[in-house]
Amino acid sequence: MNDEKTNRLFKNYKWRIAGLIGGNAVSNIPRGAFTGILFLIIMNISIPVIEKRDFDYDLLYRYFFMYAGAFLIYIVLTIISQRNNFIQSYTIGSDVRLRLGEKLRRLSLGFFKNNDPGDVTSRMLHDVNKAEEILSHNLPDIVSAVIVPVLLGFFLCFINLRLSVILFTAVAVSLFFFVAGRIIIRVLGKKHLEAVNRASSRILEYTRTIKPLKSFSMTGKSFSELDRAMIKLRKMSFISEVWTGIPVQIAMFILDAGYLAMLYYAVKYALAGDIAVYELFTFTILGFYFFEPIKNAGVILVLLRHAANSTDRIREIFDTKEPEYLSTAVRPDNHEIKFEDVSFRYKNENVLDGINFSASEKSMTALVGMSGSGKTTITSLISRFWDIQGGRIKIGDTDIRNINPDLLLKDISMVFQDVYLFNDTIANNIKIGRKDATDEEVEKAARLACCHDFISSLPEGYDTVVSEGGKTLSGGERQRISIARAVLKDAPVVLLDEATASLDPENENEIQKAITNLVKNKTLIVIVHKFNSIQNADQILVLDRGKITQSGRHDELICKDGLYKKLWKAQQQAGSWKMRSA
Amino acid sequence: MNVIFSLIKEKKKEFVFCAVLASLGAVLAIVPFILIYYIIQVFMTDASSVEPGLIIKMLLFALSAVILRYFFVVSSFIFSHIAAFDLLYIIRSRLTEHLGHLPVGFWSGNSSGKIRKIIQEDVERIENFVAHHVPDVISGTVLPVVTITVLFFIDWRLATATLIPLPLGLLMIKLMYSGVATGGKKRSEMWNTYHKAIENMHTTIVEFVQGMPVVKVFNLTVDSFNRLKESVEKYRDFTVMLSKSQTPFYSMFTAITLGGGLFIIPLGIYLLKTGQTDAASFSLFLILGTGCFREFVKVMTIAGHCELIFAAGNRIGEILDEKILPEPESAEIPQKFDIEIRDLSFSYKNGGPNVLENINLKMEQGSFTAVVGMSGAGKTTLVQLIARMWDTEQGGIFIGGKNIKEIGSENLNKYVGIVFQDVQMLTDTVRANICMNKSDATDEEVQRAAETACCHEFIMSLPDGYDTVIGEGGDVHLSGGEKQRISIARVILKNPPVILLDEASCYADADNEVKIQNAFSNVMRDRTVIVIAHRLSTIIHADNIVVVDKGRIVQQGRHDELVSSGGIYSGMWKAHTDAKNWKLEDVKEEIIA
Repeated sequence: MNDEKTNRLFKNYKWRIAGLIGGNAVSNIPRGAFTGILFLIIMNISIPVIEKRDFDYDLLYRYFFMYAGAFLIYIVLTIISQRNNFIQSYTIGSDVRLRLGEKLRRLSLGFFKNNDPGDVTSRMLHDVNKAEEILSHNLPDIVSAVIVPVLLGFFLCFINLRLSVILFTAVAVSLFFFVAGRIIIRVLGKKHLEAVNRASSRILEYTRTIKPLKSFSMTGKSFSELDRAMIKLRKMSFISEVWTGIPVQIAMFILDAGYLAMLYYAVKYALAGDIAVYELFTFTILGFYFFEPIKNAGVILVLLRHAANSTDRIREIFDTKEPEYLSTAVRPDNHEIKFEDVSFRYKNENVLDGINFSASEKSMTALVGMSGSGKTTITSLISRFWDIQGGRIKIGDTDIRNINPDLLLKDISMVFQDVYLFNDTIANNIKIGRKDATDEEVEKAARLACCHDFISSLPEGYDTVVSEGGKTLSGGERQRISIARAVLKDAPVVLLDEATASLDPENENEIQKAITNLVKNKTLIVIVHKFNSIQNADQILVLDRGKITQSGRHDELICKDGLYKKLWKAQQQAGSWKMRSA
Repeated sequence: MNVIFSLIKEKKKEFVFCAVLASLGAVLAIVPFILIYYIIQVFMTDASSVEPGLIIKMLLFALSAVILRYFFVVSSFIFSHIAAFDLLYIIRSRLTEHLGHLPVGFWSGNSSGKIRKIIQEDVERIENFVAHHVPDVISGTVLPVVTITVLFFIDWRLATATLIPLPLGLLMIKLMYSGVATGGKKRSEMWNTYHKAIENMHTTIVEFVQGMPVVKVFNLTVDSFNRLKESVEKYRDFTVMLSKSQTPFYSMFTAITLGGGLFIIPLGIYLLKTGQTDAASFSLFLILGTGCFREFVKVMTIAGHCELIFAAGNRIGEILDEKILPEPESAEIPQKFDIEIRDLSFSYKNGGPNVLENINLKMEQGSFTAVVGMSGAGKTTLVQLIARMWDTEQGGIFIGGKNIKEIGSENLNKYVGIVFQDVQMLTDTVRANICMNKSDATDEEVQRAAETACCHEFIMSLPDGYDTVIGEGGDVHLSGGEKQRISIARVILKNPPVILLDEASCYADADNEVKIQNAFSNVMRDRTVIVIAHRLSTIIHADNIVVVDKGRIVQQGRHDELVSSGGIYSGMWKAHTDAKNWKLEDVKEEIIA
């Protein structure tokens, strides 16, 4: 049952939720008392009329005071329980969000490749909101909707079993339709959610690729993929709303019809003298109050199923396996990196196959090869962004799968090809390298990364806020900031994707200086695009389609026929663009 | 609030129709109460004189009323949903259409996460409004109004007592929203803070997910990535604070509206005692009068939701109010494709510092112009202005003598192809990514474009060739160089007379670089080409090299002229040749030492 799974999501909050349910149950008892007292008053003014005796006014006044007392208790209890509902649900919601964030961070990057970022964020936002709503609204409503009919049901059975059976039959039949509605929601809700997510991804894509789309006049409806996703969303929204709404309406109709059927028999029996008039009145009045909350409960049960789709999606993240490690393994003190027969597959595609090499401590290893040959994958595997399917990767003789990933990453600095900056000040973006760094240390790192000058020239210097993704800075500036982060982190292993190609010459010089400062005394693995910077590497690994085809130093490789020589030659030829055939 | 109503105007007739159906359904909801009253009255007066046939008739009448009621409710439900989802689609289309016509400057102040939220979640709220809230408000008001009216006819004194909880309840609501509950802060202020807290949380979560590789490698745990924790906790603290201060009033409201008995019971007993009412009427008030505001509670809950909805509507309205690039009524069609930039100055913000200052530049049809300069000099802006990603206030850009504003975006896009520095792929097949808007291109044409862009080979090595789905949600992840070549193939297929290239050779490895250069040499023939170049060796054959510094053109001419004339360019050229000889020698020395 999916509800059980939902409960599992909330199991950390077992007691708080139990308290929440209990609070709402208790606060609803006076509400039941209202109904009971009203009923008693009606009985005590109608029966005397029939029996032609005087009203007992003292009794009536006593009932009134009981009513007023119940009312006061009700107000106090409701205030307490409703406050608690909201406070608990928002507190639990934010806790779930933070736990989700922490969980996401621990997942391998494969998760983010398989799940659209728009989808992942909507789980943290939208789906958690739904979960909050379950706790703050649906659960309390269910509790209050169930308690009154249960109490009334028992009472009515005592008065007259035959009539009660009619009521219960109506409830059973309507339950069938409520359940049908829930099943439909489960099926259609998933499809609807898929349509929502697809539209969400397309909208995000549209906003992110707006520039090329504009230049190809593919905005608005001309971007047919987005239009189609939105049309599909319209259709699925309609279908899922209406097809879940109709069984619910049928179920509610059955409850109303059941009440009338019960009245029919009650009147018939009363006229035949089979039941007393007070029994008829009891069923006429309390029967009505018996059905009203059940109608509410039915609607909420259906809503809850809707919400369960959201909690399912949150749970899916919590249930995704994290990379495992041995808690006993410690941080390696030697930083030699070894690949032993490593193979890695991604979606049935062999990305790396039988990779063997070792990079001794404080040496420089260069990776070269065509794009798609697996260079970036090697650096990602060292930081354990993915787990390998075969072989072993070791740092200082320890299999990296044994080390706590957090500890492993403490020893590694990475400079990525595409630099991501957070929407925060430049100083804080650099401080990501080491959270407790002082302003002086940040500035020192920035100087070493050759970005102090341009940062100081900005109107607000280090306090300048970088926009989302760092778009306001140039590519070279972004990269230097990311080098400053790595300098500040000062990890013994540096993995560097040398994406200097996008930079203008002035920047390129600066970046090369920055890199030189970064890699001093480090075990360096660098992905190289421009061969002039690697002639002094201790070893060069030449990759082709996931395999190492050649390895050695530049002077050795250049003398042998092979891919390296070919690439080297190509690089030398890469010269000027030829405009005209001339 | 106005925004919402102007947005739903489009479906006004449908919604009015649904509202009528919903009110008819609501009126019929009173029938069971009347029946209860009737039965009590009949059996109370004299059970022996009761006519069985009449009661059966009453029951049948009630049954048909119930059936009719569900008929109204269900049809209102179906029709309002057809109209509602249609409306959402229309609003979303309008938004995406509008966004497409905005200058790209819009995006520097608006994150994609924020805009997605508006298009998706804020628009979705309108469905709740028109398909649920409006019918609920109608049934929640119609039923009490009809009930009270009926009750007034029976006994005006008891009916007045029934009404008393209403003003008391509303007073609670007023207190809840007034400064009393929120420490003197106004309601609108509170909602603003609330929305800012949500938006802030959205933005940081989007960032957290998008920046995941950075998050992982720098061990940015939720505790240390303060902004995430802060924004989530700020949202929590705000909502908790709001709940604490507002729920007492809200709870009192719900309780009081349900507590009609407090006034009906004592008055009823008094009237009964003094013989001014009978047991049957009193019973009716006890049954009908104590519960008649139950539905009305929903209305007030909805009023709370409406705050959210109107705020959402305002955010939608803000986007739709953003000024789009104006399009000419009749487009001018250039016959030639030389480009002239006249006295152009440009700043991102009105009154902000000029990013480009007094640019004058001529490019002959079929010529090759290179733009060089430091990062931040304004090269990208200059080139994007030619593609009319922004409009200029001062000066103009002319293609074949026609101002690009008069040519209009639609036409301009036909004449100008641009390769951006950050290459974006759509989640779609390789073929669709190359075709873009040219869906009628044949397979041969696509393949030829891919071959010219030197990407046919790697496309064929993908699992499904041209049908492989690439992009963020795709099966295959492409390298930067591969994406770049596909984006070149796009432009080749489009075959425009003017081509703009921005930092077009980034992320290319050596092999790629040769391929890309070949690709470009193929495309450039007989076209007006403007290139933002980073490796000066690639542009030494350019017809004109334009050196941009701090938003101004400081030098222009051919490579040889510029190298020999001194100035910025010759300095850059020297830096470039130095860089080519850069080695990790310093490092080596350190390591050896």
